[in-house]
Amino acid sequence: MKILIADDNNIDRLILKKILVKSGHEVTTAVDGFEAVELFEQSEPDIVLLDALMPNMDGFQACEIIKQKSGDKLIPIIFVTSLTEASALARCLEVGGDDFLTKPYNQVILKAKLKAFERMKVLYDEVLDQRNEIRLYTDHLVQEQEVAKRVFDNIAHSGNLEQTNIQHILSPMSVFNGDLLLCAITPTGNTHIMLGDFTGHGLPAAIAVMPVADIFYGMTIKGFSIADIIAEINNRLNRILPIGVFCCATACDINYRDKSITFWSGGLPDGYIIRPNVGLVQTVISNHLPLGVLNSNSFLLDSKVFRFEEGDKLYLFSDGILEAEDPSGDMFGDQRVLELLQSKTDDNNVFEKLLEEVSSFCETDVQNDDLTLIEYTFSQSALGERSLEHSGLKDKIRPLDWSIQYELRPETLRSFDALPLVLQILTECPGLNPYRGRVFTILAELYSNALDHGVLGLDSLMKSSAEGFSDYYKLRKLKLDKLQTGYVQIKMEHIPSDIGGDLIIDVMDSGKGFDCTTDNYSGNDFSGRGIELIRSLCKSVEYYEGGSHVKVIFQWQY
Amino acid sequence: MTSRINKQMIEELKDIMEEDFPLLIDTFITDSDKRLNDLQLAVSQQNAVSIRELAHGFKGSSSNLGAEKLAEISFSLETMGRTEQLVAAENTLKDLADEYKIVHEYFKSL
Repeated sequence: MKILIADDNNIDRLILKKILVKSGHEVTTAVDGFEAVELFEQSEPDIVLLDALMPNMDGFQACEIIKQKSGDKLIPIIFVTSLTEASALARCLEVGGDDFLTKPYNQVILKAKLKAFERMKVLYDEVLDQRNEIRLYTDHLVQEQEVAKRVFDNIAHSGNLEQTNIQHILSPMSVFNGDLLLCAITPTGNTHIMLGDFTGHGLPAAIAVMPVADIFYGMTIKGFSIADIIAEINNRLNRILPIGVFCCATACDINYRDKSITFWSGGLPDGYIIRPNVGLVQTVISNHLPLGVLNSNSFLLDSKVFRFEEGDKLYLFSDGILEAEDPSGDMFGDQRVLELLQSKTDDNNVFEKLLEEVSSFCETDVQNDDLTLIEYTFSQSALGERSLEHSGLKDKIRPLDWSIQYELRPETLRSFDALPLVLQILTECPGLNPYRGRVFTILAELYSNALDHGVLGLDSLMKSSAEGFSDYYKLRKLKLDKLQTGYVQIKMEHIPSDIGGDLIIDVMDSGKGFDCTTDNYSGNDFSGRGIELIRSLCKSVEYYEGGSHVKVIFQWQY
Repeated sequence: MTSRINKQMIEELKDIMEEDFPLLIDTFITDSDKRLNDLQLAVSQQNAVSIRELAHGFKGSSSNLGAEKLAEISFSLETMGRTEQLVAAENTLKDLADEYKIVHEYFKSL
């Protein structure tokens, strides 16, 4: 070991040094406390032996300074003194000394003590190393989590949660408790929302969040229905998750033209639709098993459709709030949540108020970590903020001169959403890409008119009352299930021009036709809006054969 | 005679110091000569603090060299300094000087 000794007594210093050198130590000597402090830094000793009484600076002062300079390291200080009074010896330890030896030296005891301190030092250094390792590891872990969070944010939060008609709470570290909240706009301007809560925490939950977000955004932007998206997510989770890990979720599609909301819910607490001046109009009850539990053969897709109109508010929660407990173990529960949501007057702070109530109920500060909530308000004006088109550089590659025809028959009409496929063909023409939202809107409207009012013969007037609204969707499902004959034929043709091109969409169905004039509908009526919307987007719209055949021309420019 | 010099200790010191033993003795004599001078000045000035410090040093080095009686007398003088009872200091210093003379002779003979 390297040993620093300080003694003003030449004889003592000589003897001590000789003993230590003969024991194999490397010795530095100082004649007083002042020199000891000076030599301490440059000699980096493992142990310091200090005489107590020295001129200039005594051992007690030197001890305090050296201990301070040692910082984290254990550098034992042993006082070597001819003082014998108990109070003087006690003082050696009070100022930070680790032990004392009385003069004259007993070689055997001196060597034994040095050995003991050497062992202690090794042990201490090991503990210190381990502590530093743990600290390093923790820093590393936190850093990794931050990087992981950034990656996650890029995937999971690339959506449209920052609209004026959405309020939400999502724990900043949600990626590590397996909560997710996704929102995306479909090509037709519908809104898809999904709130999910994985069983378990930490890495397994975080990993599973990624494909869910990816599928949700990827399929929404391609125009897939919420049902198809949910089915795909379930299949993927069912394949990748271990048994016992699954995702409680509610997903919905908000349709602004239809003023409807379509739900699929599995395993989450009830959601609510609250109408201004009316109160609770619909409870969204979870009637499915969570995502990832069932394989694709036994997975049930049937979703529920409700009326959802201007000013209506949708609330979805993870179970954190409902399960918040007061000191006696009672849970906050859905009744308290519902009362608060219905009684609220100020639109801007519903969640703040809710958190306050929960905090005062629990008599502790509520940890946001476990809470994920969303309030979505049906708002036409907020819809206006959103652009139907994706911005991006205009692509100068011209679409080819082409035409396709596609006929959908009962089996396909019943079970397959053909529109994403058709849209995919259109996106092969890069010049049309900036217009894909508009084209999809036109296609979707023409297709649903052909199927609902043509092939299935449903009367859109049914949807004008609340009961009729739900009857309409029941009847639609019934008729679709029983459909034996019929078809929808989609024909598309593209004629390029110097400045862009004309896309001619021709849709024909096997139905008897329907009232395709807009005269019967007041301007604001939801059922008539489809055709008006198409007229506003297209250069021309022509109906033939009483409405069972329609031909529109969509003109686009670079 | 109280063991004036602890002979066993001298043998041990020779063992420890090996070729440096004469250096040790020389250092002792040089330091002690100076201390004795300084002590005589301190006693004449009745300076209790100096008496205490110098006697303490004397005690330390003499006990390390096995000069037990010299160490004993040094300790008496140190105590007088610490308690500021200097009445007998002059006599004790005289004892100390006498004893040192004997020890000095002995070490020179080694």
